[in-house]
Amino acid sequence: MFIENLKIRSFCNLKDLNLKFNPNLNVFSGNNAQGKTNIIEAIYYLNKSKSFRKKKDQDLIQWNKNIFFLKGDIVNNNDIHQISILFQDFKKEIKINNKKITKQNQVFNLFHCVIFSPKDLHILDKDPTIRRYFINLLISQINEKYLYHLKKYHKTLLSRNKILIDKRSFFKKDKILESLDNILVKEGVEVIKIRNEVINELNKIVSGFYKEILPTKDLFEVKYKPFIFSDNLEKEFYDKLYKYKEYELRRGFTLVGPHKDDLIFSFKGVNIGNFGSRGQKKMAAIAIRFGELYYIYKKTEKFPILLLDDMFSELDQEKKRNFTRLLNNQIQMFITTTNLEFLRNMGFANYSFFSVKDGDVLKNEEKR
Amino acid sequence: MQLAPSMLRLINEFSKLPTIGPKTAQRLAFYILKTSKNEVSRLSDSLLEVKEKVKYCQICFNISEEDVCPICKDTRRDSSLICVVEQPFDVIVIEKLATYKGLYHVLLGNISPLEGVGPEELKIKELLERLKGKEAKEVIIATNSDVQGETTAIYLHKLIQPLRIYVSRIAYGIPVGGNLEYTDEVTLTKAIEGRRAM
Repeated sequence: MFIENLKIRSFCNLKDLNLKFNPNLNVFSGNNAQGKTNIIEAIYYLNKSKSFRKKKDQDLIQWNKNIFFLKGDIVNNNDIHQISILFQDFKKEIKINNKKITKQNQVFNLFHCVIFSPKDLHILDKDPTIRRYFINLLISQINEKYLYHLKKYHKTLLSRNKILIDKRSFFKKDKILESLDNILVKEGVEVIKIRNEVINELNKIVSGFYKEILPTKDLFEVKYKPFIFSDNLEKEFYDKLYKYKEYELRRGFTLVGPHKDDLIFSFKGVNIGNFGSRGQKKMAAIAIRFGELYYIYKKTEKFPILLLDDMFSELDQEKKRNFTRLLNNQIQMFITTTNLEFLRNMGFANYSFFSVKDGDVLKNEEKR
Repeated sequence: MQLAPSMLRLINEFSKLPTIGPKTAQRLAFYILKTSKNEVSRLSDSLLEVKEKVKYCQICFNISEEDVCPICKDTRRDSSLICVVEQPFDVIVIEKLATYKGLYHVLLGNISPLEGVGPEELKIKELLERLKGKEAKEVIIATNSDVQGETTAIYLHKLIQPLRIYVSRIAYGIPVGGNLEYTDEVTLTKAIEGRRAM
């Protein structure tokens, strides 16, 4: 599965482009601040309708313009599907084969993408919000049921917080809280169960990859840290809610639940986020993304498109080689780099090299 | 060109109606301008008539022209069965089935903390009074399946249970004529949760 071509109109700093991609390797080289990452962003956006840099949609529009438009052809075996996104007046309209769609999952049924970017380090060393975002995005792409439970959980959470902060009469407040707790627990437990399953599977894949990139016998692990973990999740959730109720009423928001869960990454049993070196974190981040890649492959039996944004800048020669060895020719890759020579020497059989300058992209070498 | 002030006022009034945007409002206003005076006065009379005559039934809070609505008055209906719905509109939907023979109770909304609507704004107190009248044996809760509807359902269940009245919830799942193959995961899960013995 690969993107055959991409049409870009008034997106970030990019010129209006019609790009034709190689089914295997696509490399974008150029100096800093020329627009390499924006190409990666465009492909990512076509897939997820979101910026991977957490930019607002509005901010992706080119200066002095008021819309942006992306259109790509996705090839799956012999099928070609066209996906387009038009962003206009703070709204986006997504179409598949010229038909408007309402669910993002319809795009995910066609293709997935996984991104490796320097910002991945944040998954390890920033606050739990980023780790929850990572895991929520990963699961909800694959599992529609998870998205349903997660959304319902969050809606209930909002309502519950509203009641907690409300200073009106007390008797009824208790009864409404009880009703909301019922839904909160039911949906919350579903969320935790699915997360548990997925993170267990992810852990197996991730720890395997860590050993491959960084030849070592020591164990790298991803662990789920839910706020409840007994055999009877429902009872434990209710107990916690009961225990914290007084405190929650004073604070005015919900203090327990899967919206407070976390992921722990550890090497030899030590938390990398807190105690790891920058190099260790970098390795761990790569392993996590590989985990994501192969997890999606396992679930969908199709390789996601791989986006590597400035991946190689911080790796030594040996790790670069180990890393590229792990990639295979069934994966379509998009790589941005300031240093083309290394990739040239890797001996890829199929590739297109593009140079990026001032928002313009030129193909200057191709081999198929 | 500036429109006549009376036209602007009419357009403005029309555009306050739900689903009517500025363009449709304009079209409607010009339509009114073309229409005969008789026709227009019939329209304006019927608007006022609705406001004057239609009120809520004192028992079930469905809309009605009398103090007690025809459904509540109908002695052939099963008074041991009460179906609780959110809006008068829901009654019309269920009545179309012509299979439900019980009575209704309209809450006139749902518990929605985000919009600041609590149980005291709904006809819940009235429902409980009604249930104490001993006639009712079963309450069917037919609120929507979103968070607000669900919260309302659970809240009612908690209040009605102590009265020793059977409380049931309408089932959600696969539409009739729907094929299992084309049903999405979430709906199918709901349907399996709500299965019943054969």
